[in-house]
Amino acid sequence: MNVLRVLSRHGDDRFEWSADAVRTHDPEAVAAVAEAERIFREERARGAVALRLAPGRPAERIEEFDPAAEQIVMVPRVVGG
Amino acid sequence: MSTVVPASVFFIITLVAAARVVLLLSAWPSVSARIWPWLRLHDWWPVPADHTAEKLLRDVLTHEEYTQLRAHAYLEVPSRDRAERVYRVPRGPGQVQVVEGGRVIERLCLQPLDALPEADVILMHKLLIEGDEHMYLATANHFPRVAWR
Repeated sequence: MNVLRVLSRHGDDRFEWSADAVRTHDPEAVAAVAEAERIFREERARGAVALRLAPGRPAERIEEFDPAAEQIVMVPRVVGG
Repeated sequence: MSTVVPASVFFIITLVAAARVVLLLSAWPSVSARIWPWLRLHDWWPVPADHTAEKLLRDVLTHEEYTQLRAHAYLEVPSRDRAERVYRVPRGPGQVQVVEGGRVIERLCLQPLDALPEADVILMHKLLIEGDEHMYLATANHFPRVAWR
């Protein structure tokens, strides 16, 4: 499963989809990935930073939603303290 | 009645003493950095946000990183831009220390606009440093060594 996590006061909100099922045009998977992309854009518009995670590799900042990413974490807007 | 009163008094005194010992230990960073995360990882932990955040942190960090965080109450994140630089992210309140050649050269303060659980804040620092160190440094407030020495 692929997952989009949005860090929040609730811990993190998870949105999952299956990239494999999307490739076979499974309607539920297509809807799930569309919802994840909508949330991605919504959070980006609020100033969140999106980072793609892969095992054994440093986090990588992304500007566009990547449906093939294993895991995307969205960090809410940060400010100097 | 006379045996019940001393027993209940003894119980209360024991309870208070135990609570004080726990509080004293909690104030010691290397102990609290082990106890609280361990407790938060249990399903029965009463604050779901802390439980979820701690699980995510443990899953994202390598075993070595999570062990370091438990042992020292901070996580070291190597700079991708400067080979000799390490960012020391504390568990709990405190500023991020910038360490070069084993020496703290400055402290950084950066925080999320919305409140996050403690474990998510650690993860936030790690991911931002790895993902966009330039933006991280540009956003953080810098406190050079001369300012707090």
